[in-house]
Amino acid sequence: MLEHSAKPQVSDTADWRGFVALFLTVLIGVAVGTYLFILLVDPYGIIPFSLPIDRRIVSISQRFMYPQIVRSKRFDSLIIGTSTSRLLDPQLLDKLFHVRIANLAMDSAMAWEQKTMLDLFLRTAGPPKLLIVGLDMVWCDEHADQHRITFRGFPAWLYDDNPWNDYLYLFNYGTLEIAARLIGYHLGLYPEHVRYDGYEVFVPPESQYDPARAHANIWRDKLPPPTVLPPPLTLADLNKLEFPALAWLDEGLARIPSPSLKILAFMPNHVAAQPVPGTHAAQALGECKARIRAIAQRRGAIMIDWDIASSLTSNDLNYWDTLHYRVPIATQLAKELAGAALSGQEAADGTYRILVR
Amino acid sequence: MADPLFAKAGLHALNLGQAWSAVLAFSFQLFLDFSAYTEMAIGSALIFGLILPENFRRPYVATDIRDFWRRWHISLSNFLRDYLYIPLGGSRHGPWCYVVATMVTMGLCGLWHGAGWTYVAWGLWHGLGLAVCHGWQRFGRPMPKLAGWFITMLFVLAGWVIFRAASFTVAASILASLAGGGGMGGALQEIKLLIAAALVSALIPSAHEIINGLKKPHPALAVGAAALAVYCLLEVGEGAPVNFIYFQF
Repeated sequence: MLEHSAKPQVSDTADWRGFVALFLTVLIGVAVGTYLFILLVDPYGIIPFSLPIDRRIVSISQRFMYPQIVRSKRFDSLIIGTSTSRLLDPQLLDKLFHVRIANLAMDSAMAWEQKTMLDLFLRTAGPPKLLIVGLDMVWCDEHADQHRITFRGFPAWLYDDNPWNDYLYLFNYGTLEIAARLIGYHLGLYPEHVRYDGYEVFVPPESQYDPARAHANIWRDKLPPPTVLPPPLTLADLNKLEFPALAWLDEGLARIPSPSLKILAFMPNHVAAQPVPGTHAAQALGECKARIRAIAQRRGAIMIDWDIASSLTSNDLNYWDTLHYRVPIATQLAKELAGAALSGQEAADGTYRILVR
Repeated sequence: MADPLFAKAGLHALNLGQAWSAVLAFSFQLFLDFSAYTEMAIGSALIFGLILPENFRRPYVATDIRDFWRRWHISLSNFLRDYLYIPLGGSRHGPWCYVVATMVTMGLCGLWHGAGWTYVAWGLWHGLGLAVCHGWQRFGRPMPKLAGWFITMLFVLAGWVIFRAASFTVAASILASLAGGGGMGGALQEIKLLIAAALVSALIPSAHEIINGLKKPHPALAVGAAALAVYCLLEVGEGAPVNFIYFQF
């Protein structure tokens, strides 16, 4: 099926030589120029010889953008978690706890990704004055050691201590685009996307809140509760459950000495997203919370649980969807968090429980 | 877009917009996936001075089904023609022999794509189309090009439904939905993407069309090709490869 190409004429050969030379010159020139542009702009803040410009967060790719916040050493405290913790405003928490905190919670972050962020902080900035772990189901995933990252991918090279492997991952369209956005920011053409402390209001503006739409979002995929509950799991069954991420949590807390304030907070999922009481899922979550409680007691952490049926989590008007509460609720949570952690203030309306103090 | 919609069709009937979105998306996905792969092989071989045979020549501009098979997976079509269709008698022994040879060849062509009855049915569907097309062309009454293209594309799209569906039940459900059987609601999804895919499929020539039309190297082409190569390098650098789907056939 293969044929050899026809032998070219001499004049053709000269023309083609010129063509190939021009092609290679442009290819190498543009590729090298593009790479140098990326290295000099350095949108991830990792290249030692990059331009000394103010690097703002101009992309919503939190997994790529947040390591530079840690490496900046501007913050002595951090929040890790998923999108359920992203609305906790660091500026408010700074005032309440007298710290400089960065909110490094990431959309749909798996437990391993959160643990990797904490590792980076501990190695780079040392033990935090305040650590808030926004707990979600990902920490109670029985296969967390297999479900380490999401479909988004995770740039582990940005989280290691090897500065040389980073160069391999920078020549790509995504990095070029973010570098161009950063230049656009300095030219006044592109806005800062996420505040440098990681805070971003990713839900729509309050003025656009539509109760009917929120109600539909919350209850759209809700299955009817089971008519017959299964036989409850026995103590032996519960003891057999494995939550691999809890070993990472335990190890991370063990590396933070006692003067630091460590808060483990189960964030308030709407009751529609909470397991139906009496089901195996609810029992497994209860067992997971009990084990986290034991870790908190062992490691001197405070544990608060908003993930319960309450006037907060039963009211559709507090939510955009089952996981994402509204901005005023985030403000309320930050204040309750400070009150509970600093002075043991219990919830007057039963919206949270202090499990360990 | 195609995969979730075809999966959804296995659970309940799609509406009109969903059904057309699914079928169009899969048609472009299959062609662009396989065609791009073979063009890469052809281009890589050309760098070493080897000319591999052409495999696709803009099949979605075909104006009849015979034309389609002269443009789609040409290496397989040629193989089946030389080693199956012609030994079976081809068109040399009357119309019935032609029909039998065509149906056997295309039935086996379907089976070549996968061990499933839907693939065989897809092959026989195309065998039927080829036979009808052959018969029509023998009458000597040519169809207007635009009408020919429209009918051919409807025929090919219906074939892709049979080809892609997990079962005959799902295929029948999607075909019914394409005619509005699942409700007339919905709209085409990702319409810009579908238009882009249609333009790329119809306008970008194959490597063979390019080299055959290239009488003299032009500097603008060198610059354009280099810019395109840099873009490709940047895309490769993303490090997030998309699965090549045709490997399974």
